[in-house]
Amino acid sequence: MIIAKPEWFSRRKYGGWGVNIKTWQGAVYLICVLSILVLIQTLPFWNTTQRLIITGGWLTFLFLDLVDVMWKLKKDERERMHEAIAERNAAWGMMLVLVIGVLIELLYYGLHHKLYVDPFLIGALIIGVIIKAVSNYWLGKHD
Amino acid sequence: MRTNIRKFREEMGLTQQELANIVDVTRQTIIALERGKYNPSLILAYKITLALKKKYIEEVFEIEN
Repeated sequence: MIIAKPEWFSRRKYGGWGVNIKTWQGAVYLICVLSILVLIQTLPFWNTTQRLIITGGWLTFLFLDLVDVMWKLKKDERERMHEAIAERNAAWGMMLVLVIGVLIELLYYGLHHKLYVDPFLIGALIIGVIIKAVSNYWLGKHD
Repeated sequence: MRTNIRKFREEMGLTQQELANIVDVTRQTIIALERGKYNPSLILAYKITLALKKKYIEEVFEIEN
């Protein structure tokens, strides 16, 4: 735990990934971190580079704090199963779009006698394959 | 899966939330179990059986054909 506590938040189900505020402490936390962000942007005694570094540092800290909260959010077995199914479905949807994107790029550049596919599309698919393989290996060993 | 959770819970005077707290799940999970919409793990079934002070899991959970 860094600053935020998991009990202040609930898992976001219907608006993408992340967390929703559950208690007043969560609301206070959000107001505080946003106020600090605004303060960093408005204080006059920093130059642009310093401001960028401090903003980046603060956003990195907030990201890590959020990941920590998401990791530690309490879920019972039914909620874990629901989350796993929802994440799997989301992964399938994204994979389908990525594959369609690759095919469209191959077709488009093929018509112009070139072979090109956006490396981020390929990278996302390769990372997905690696993560799936590692997950299956780990689960096979430990479960 | 059919369950007698509601019957035994009410006999003990427990609310859904109280039972949920005892077995460390959400109230929604207890509701889903009572309606027979969720098949629990063996561990959860065992915890619920103990919480309802029953000896055998079969008293609380019945598999429907």
